[in-house]
Amino acid sequence: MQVRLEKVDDFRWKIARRGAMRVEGLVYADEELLPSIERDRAPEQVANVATLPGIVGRALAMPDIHWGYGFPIGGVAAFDPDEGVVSPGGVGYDINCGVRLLATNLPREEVSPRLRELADALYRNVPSGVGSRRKDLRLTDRELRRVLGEGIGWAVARGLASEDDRENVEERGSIPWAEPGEVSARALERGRSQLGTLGSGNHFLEVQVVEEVYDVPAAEAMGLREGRVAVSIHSGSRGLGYQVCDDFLKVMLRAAARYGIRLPDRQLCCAPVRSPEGRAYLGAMGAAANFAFVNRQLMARRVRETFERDMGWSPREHGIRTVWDVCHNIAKIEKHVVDGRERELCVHRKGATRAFGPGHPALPARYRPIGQPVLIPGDMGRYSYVLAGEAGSAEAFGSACHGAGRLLSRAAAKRSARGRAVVRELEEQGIVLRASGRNTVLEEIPEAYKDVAHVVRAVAGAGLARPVARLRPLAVVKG
Amino acid sequence: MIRGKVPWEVLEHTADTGIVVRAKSLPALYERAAAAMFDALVDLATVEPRGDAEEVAVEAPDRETLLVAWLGELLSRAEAAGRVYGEFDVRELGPAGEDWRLVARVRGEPLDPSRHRFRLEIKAVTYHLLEVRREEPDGWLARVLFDI
Repeated sequence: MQVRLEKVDDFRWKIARRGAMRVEGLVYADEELLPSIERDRAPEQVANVATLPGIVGRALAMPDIHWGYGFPIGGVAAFDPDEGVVSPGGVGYDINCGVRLLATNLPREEVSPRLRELADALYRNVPSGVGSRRKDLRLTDRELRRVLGEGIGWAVARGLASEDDRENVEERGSIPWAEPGEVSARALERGRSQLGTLGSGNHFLEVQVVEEVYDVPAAEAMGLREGRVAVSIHSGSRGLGYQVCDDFLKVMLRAAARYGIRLPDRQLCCAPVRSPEGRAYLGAMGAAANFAFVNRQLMARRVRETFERDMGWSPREHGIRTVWDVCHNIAKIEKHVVDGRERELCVHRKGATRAFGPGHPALPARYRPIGQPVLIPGDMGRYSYVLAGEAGSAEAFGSACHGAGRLLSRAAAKRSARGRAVVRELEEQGIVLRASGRNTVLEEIPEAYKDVAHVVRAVAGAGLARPVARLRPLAVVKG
Repeated sequence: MIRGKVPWEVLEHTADTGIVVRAKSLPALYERAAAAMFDALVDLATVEPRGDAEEVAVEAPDRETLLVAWLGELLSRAEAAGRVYGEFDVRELGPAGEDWRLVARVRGEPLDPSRHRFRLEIKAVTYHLLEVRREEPDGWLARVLFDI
């Protein structure tokens, strides 16, 4: 389906209803980002999402949108729980891929002279890379099911997370509708030895410096100060989540046919939210999301241990605390106001982040005055951003972008990087890189990604979230 | 039956990557696709399939989703067991009632980071750009995209 983008304003482009579309599409972008969005076939995918039953409002796309499978990456779609569907493709394989941000009290001057040492220690202590497993955490099936059922609650009970950690994680790190029983034995097997590991590809652990603060009160609330060091962890539910998605794509392929749902693309397969298949998926997805919350928590714990034991900084010196932890691949049951009426909706965010504005009851007291922190990782050479959700995000079911979005395919990135000493290029910029896989380094070069500053500018222009701080990488650990 | 590296092409995509393989018969096509996937994952030249053969049996609504089911099962089983597979022998491949069915025997070995050269992490086998079709003059082509 050829799709036309019609400009609504400087930050919004509409896809008018055509053919089987039940609602309009809306792409958040700006004039500069638009050409790459149009060249990509992602708008076509936004139009396809708009054909699904029970979709409410509009099929949305964030400025970092790119071509995915079925649903575009950077997409948001909300469905009525009684009339609508839930779709594993609208969440992604890496269920609850997300970002955890830790703030520290350490000034950059304290860390920079020991950056290599710190990078080496983090690389040693946080397992990463293809085939990475943890041998120290041996979980029985029963224990693993508790992780799936309780999320960060399990970690708190085991002394692996503090109450302060829990309070500053989306959903308090525990999805209420998680059902461990819906997670297959194969998924458990895949995930069992991967809890607390980074993975590979675009996952990373980064030591950063707060380079610039744009909103002082918000940054203060988050514990971010210019010149201080921070740490970000970008990872998800590992093999357990991938398997859950895979399992349910098979279920939904058959279910969609049985429920008479016409699919313009197989990967949009879905089932009614209230159906047995829909409920089962929501339960399994919630469990996988809990796994991911605990995954990031355990790695955060390793970071803290590294600062203390390997680097010798005391808790008072490093002052590491959890700023926030976001999901950017998830489907949630949430309340939103639509046409003046409060409704419960099943909101899918695939490559999009929740961004509730100031005053939202779901936010902890610390963030209620300023809005929810929104963590936007960039590529490994440039910068990442921290935003705060704005009231204007309500138009997008409380959502904003999730990251930079790729520009180049991995093969194209490798071709572009061939012959270049990528690691040295980064070091010349003062960035230390530790990576398990050489290919990953080539595939993840900065030029392979859109400039996240552009994406943030468009999100801010659209009123979804406002910039709070910009972080620059100092050391990057990649799998 | 196929053992070790096979010719295959990279299927380019902005966010992910995949394979394109060709063969003279459908069973050979599925064998090649498996070998290509594992070669994309870890250089198959560094893998020594040994030990007992394992049976793999999958079913799916059609020929193409069957390819996803086959590759997905191999990927998933390999990760769960900490193994990598390098030998693929498709014994049965065809319609079975309403579905399509594949039965194969595969051999591999335990993952060994000291010997195996890992190339990338494949999260899953997707249905995107999926194709299994005849190609002139007398062959088959398969195209599969992986989530990376």
